[in-house]
Amino acid sequence: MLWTTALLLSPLLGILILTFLPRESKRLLQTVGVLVALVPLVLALLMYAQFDRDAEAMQFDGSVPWFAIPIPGGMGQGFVFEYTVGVDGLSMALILLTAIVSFVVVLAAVHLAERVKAFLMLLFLLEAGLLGTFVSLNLLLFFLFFELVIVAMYFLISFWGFRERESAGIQFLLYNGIGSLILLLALIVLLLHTGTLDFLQLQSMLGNEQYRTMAGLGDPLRWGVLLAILAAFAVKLPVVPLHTWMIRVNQEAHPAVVMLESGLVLKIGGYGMMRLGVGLFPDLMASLGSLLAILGLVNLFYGGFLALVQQDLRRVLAYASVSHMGIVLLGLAAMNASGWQGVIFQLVSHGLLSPLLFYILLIIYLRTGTTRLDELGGLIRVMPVLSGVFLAAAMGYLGLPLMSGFVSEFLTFHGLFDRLPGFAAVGVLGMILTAAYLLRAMQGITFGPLIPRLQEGGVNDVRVLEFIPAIALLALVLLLGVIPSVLGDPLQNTLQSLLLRLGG
Amino acid sequence: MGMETQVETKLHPVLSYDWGLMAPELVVLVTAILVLVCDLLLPRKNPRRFLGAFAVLGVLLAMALMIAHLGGEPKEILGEQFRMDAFSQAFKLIILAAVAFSLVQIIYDGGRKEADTRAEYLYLMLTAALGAMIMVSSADLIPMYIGLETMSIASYIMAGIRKRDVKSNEAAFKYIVYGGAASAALLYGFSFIYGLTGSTNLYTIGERLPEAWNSGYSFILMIGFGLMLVGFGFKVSTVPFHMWAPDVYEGSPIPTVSFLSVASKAAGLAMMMRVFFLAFYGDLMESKLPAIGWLLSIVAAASMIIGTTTALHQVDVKRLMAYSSIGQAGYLLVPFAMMSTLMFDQMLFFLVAYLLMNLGLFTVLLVVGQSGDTNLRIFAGLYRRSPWLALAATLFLLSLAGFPFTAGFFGKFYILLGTLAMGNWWLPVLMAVTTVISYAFYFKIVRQMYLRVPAVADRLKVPPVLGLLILFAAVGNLVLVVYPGLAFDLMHQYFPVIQQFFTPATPAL
Repeated sequence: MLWTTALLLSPLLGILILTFLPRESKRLLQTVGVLVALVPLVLALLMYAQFDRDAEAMQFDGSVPWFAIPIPGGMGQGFVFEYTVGVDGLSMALILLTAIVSFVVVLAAVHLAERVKAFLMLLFLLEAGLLGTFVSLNLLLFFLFFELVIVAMYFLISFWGFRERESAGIQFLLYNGIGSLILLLALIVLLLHTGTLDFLQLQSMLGNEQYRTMAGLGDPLRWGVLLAILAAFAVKLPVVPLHTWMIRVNQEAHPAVVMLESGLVLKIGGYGMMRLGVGLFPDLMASLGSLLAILGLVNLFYGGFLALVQQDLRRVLAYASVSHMGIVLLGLAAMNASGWQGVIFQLVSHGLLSPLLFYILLIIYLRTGTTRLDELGGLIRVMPVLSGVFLAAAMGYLGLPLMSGFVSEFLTFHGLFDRLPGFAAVGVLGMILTAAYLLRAMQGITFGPLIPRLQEGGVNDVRVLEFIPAIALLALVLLLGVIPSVLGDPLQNTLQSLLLRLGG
Repeated sequence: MGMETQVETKLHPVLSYDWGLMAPELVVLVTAILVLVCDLLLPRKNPRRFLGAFAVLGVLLAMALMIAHLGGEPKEILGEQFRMDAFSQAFKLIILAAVAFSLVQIIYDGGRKEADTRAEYLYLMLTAALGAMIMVSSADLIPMYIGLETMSIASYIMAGIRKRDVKSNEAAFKYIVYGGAASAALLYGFSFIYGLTGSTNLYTIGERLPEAWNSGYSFILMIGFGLMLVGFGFKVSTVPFHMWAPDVYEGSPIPTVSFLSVASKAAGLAMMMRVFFLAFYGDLMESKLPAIGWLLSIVAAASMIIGTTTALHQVDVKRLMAYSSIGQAGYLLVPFAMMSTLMFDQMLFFLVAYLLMNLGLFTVLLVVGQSGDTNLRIFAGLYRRSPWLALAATLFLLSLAGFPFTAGFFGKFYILLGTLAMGNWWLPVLMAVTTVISYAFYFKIVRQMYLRVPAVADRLKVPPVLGLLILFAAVGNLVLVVYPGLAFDLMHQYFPVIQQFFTPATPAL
């Protein structure tokens, strides 16, 4: 528990340190920011090194009493809430992702023109919220961190970015606010029927049919709670038609913020569906396979086709995310080990690739002042290195072998063919769309005639320092593609135990 | 109607009662008188700031006396005319804490040019506090009404204390007209109840009402109930009796608004609970007027909806906070409409959180709006002018919006929990929806603070005492977050409201 708590508190400590630094000295702030971001990263890596791949139970876990709501005249202690944390394969993957992407975004923050201090503080607040969401095993705690993410993200969106960022922030707040309050109501209903919000206790209680009958948790009620939970995470993921906030945010927020949003915040959706949906209601989830597959296909194709016609790279990448989150739903729908591995791989892979692409976008924007496809062209001639990375990232995104995107898509469709071959066959066609829209965007930006503005010169390729974040992300993409077992092995046991609950 | 009395109230000679029970009230009264006398004797030029400190000390002493008596058995004086039980103690502590906030605000409100009314303002505030205290510590219609009027008349004057300000005058006038009508309705409602039961003692009324209800007077009783609802709804500012709030909040000086939004609301709520629960419910399990729960649910729902949706369009901070307080009153009424055994705890927890966040925000407003302007724009660029103040204001606003890691969240969580436990679905859903809508207008102020350029860029000076007050509200809020159990344990141990509320007390002799 010490490890997990230290991990949780380390970004908060960073906020405390930053508070006392002057906001004018940008260099100092950046140095401290990098050092602070290193702490959770190192902690997460150390945890990964110690992670026992053969254990089925939660690791680094522990529990401390927090508070109780007594019931006047009632028996017992009333409702007891505990600070309970723990890590399994599922959360380990996302903790690592969070620590890595946060670190990279701190590096990318050199491109911020103003308010570096506020940015770093909010980033660490967001990181704490995300880590808390991934390690909490008490659902009240989970919810609190889940909402903390929303607050931090709202400020990040509204402070930096483009003209309409404030209304994008409000839209984000309202969509996600509705989502999280639905989740809260569902959690309270669970609490009232079981008397606890402890995840592991809930898991064993809800898995026991006798207990369910005793506690009055009939199937209609369980369906209601499950659907509410899924709806809440569907806003986050986002599932079409709840995706509009995400497009706005991708378009209006600062690309560095979008790196966080697209790379990390969306991942809560997938994680929540796995943890709360599959974890607590395995039997009901199993019967949702086709529905999830349909939603996945809708996401995949809707996002893909719209990405194909966008005129702005920001919107292309936004719809690409919608499309790729469809793969997460398809993987979930497979209801087998391969499909679920695909889900986690896809979350992590997209969590690395999307920030990478948005980082490249940021640099393009800084150099040329635009991200519109029709205003750009021939970048490969003035920025060959950046264009090379762009190409590599696009290849990863569209699932070229030896890149992380390939592993996740392969696993997902491998799983889905086993279970719902018809859907899988249609879904594979969607992969072609990815290639189409990414190549179209590439063509518009890197190839073709050089636009007049760039012919005058003065546009430099990436500098070495600027290059580090991109290379770091790309290296990880390749690592996952070449040695998928670094991520796959820790997942094995966690997914196996989830599958056992599914009853086959 | 020829009914035999079951609740025996035996009156003892006046002087044989232990009047020490009323020590907190007496301390407030004496403080008010001393402030008044000092005001007469002091030379005109004296700014009278120290009188404010004296008044605050008086209130703190009253609170200390109250705390010293916590946890005892319920006692009464003169047949429930004055009653000391966990319910009245809890509400009195909330009221006194809120009044302490207002008193400190008065010291800093208006600067030098308002010095000639400062002492006046102070003793009116103390008088209003006294009225509120009597309202919550009586179980008899007559003293309750006297307390209500004491509080109301003092607050009418406090609304208009800025004699040279047209808006303040307008606020006072509107408040007195609306308030007079509401009081009249309330008194008229009382008269029906009295006429049918022949008593003003609420426990006696509770005993006798079922008979009246069953012998063909149910319609008249409903009229009485409706009229009382008008009177109480006015004080608590629930829809549809909320019209006064935005105008009065806008025109009145901030200490008055602070008082109206928390102390006055809490006192009105407490009186409402006493009258309705003791007279109509008798016992939680069998409601004598089943329609009441429904009626209250509708009032609560309407307050939430109208409060939050109307607040969306406001550009004046005080008006915005008026609508916000209407919405919050809706949340406060939910446990009341549900009548679960958790209802008192829910309401008290929410009130404490509400006190900290609302009064914290009004104190920030006092610092920011020194010029007297209360347009949202005054918050522009506050983050640059005073980062800590902006941070505190953000905490209060997030708390009002009910975001996690604030006391407001636990307040709402607790109410949602109790409401869902009673099997009600639509009120929690409505609470959730209005909460999300409320993000839009609370974040309007947040946006001003962080994203707008200030009209004057100079650093904002925060008077140390006001800074301390804001710090207190913020820390209190955070304590409830880190360890909400503290509040639950304290309530459980020292405020066994539900055990004491429904039974007559023993005379204090």
